[in-house]
Amino acid sequence: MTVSQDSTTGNGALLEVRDLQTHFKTGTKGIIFGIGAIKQTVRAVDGVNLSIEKGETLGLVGESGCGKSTLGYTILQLESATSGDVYYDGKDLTGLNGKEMRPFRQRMQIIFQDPQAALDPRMTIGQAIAEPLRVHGVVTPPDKSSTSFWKDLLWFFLRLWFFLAFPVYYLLGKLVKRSFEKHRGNPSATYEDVIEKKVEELLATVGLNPYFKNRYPHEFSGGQLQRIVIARALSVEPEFIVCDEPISALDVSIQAQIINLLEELQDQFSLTYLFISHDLRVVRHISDRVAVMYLGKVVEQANIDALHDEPLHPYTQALLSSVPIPNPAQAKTRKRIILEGDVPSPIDPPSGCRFRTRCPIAVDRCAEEEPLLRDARENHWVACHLA
Amino acid sequence: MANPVLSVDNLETHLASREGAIKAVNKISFDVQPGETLGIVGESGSGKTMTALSIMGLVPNPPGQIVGGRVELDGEVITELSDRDLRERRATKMGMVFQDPATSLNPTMKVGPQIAETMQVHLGHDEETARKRAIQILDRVGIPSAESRYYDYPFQFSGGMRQRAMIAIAVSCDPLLLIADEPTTALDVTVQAQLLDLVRDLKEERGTSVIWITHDLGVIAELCDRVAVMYAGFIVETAPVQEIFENPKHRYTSMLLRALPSMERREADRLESIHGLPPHLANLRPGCPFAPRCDGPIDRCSEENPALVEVGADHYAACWNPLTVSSNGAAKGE
Repeated sequence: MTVSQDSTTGNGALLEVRDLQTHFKTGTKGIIFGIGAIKQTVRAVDGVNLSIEKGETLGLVGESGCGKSTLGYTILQLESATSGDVYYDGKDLTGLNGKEMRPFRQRMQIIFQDPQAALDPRMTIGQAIAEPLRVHGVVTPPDKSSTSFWKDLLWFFLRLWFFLAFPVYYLLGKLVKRSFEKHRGNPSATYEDVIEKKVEELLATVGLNPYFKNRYPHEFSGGQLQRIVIARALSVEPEFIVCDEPISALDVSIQAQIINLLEELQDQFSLTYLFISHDLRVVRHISDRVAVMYLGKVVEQANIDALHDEPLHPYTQALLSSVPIPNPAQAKTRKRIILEGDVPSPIDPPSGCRFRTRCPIAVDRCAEEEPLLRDARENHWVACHLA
Repeated sequence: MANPVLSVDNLETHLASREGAIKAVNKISFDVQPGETLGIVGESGSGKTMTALSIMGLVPNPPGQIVGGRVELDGEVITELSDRDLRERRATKMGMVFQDPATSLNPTMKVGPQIAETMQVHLGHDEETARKRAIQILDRVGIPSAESRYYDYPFQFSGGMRQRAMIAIAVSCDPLLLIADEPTTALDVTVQAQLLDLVRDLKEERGTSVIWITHDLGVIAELCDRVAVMYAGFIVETAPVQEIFENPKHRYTSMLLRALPSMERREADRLESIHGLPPHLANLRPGCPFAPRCDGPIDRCSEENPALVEVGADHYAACWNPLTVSSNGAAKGE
């Protein structure tokens, strides 16, 4: 498990993000011909380097507005990168057009925070799960090459003539055929049957009753909906899933169910996760490695245990110490670092180190020089002058 | 023991719905002592918010209605007061902070005047005194350069600052009791830590009692003296905070504690999750509402709903088959 900064691709990393930037243009339009227009740029992701190995879970933590979701979307090319590269399995995704991107869409999936918003309220959940199966052709349609349009048309008229000329024989024939199928089973399962079977299988995989497939999203609770969203993501047999705060909207007792499900699925299908969350307790549980983001930059990246045992960046230290511990004896005695103020605006981030305005140990150098991510310990990267 | 600031006795609140009455709060009773912080913890739909609204007399009617029980604030039964009297008590004796500060502040009114208005109406301050006091309070709750921020609109405040402003409004009339309904749920952890610190200080300074409603057991451990665990509209366990975490008696509490991922170490195995879903409150079956999800149900659980009984010193649980000291070893240290 190495955090490669300058290595080339093909060292086992499934995904590699290099110097990625995603900026959004914002501001006002101006009165006429752009006079008086204010142009601003939100630097949501501003130079991020990451790599994710096959089969591991990288936790991505940070406060709201630090760009962690935007980073996830940019990796999946749901947002286009302003600059930088995203290598997936050795191929740069940033320059691909929609058609070229398609095979990768099947290999990379996403689970969103709010399952209610992620599902179409007017589709049954069976239809919702079946849609990606059809779109990506995971279930191949039966071979149709032997029939053609004209052949079909000829058969249609023949049947019509037979029906009009000998209606009794026609209906009798239908009945006989149906009874044959009933007793012997349909010898050639149709495309729809295969899809239906696959949908039922997927629902069972995520721990739902397959008979739920004809129900609508409003009939389910939040935890069940999240299971459905997971089933839909799994339907195309992906290798890599971005989990964007998948449990934040759920209750504690349900959260544990979903975390367990995600872990079981990872073992079963050898999935790779990018797990985006602001809940450090959950990230602690599920991740192998973790990257801490602040205002569009990764400030620390390390093995999960190393990060918890010895956080090097002052922001990480503050973040860890502000997580409420469900243990009253410990809560009263432990040292707490309480940061002052709020996260500055990503439109106009502070000069030098972005954290310096809230940093308890900032010195003059922090305002002048931007700290680069360097390896302070083995496999432990930190962007701080003082760490 | 001194007279409690708040005493809730057999409070029952129902919400009318097409499927019949939703029993959101089911005959709950508890006291809040002066200077005490009571944490109410439970999942969504467990009746925490309805309990708070019932105490404040703010249950939306229709569909909600308090159908039984009484609430006594500072020796006065407030469930029987007229709307006008209740409004006055609400301002001077109780303050409330809601979950979403963006919707609780008036977006078309500057933040400072919203605080000053409370004091003008309820304490009879004139405009200038109220303004000065409001700036003082804004400064106290940690708004930087309070004097100039006084004239800002809520949208110019960040989420954490809006919640600070809400706390400022709630404490502006020096209430005896502060009711906070998930005030930090929408905020980031670092901002949450700031607010917890602020509330702890304010509480010590003014001797205010606090009812802190949350679903986060971590916050409870940080802030509260006593805990009431709610499930399906019932209080299923109540005890001092140390006792709840170290020696939970109700199986729901214990399972909830075990379902939390730990910060200290990384467990290789799965979390212990609670299977199933909370019951629908419109048609509760007889028996303990937690029985279908419980890890140690006995026959009696599906027949009769257990009442809250004393299981230890100042420790009450509603369970037919409570945990013994030895069997909850797994819950320790979580």
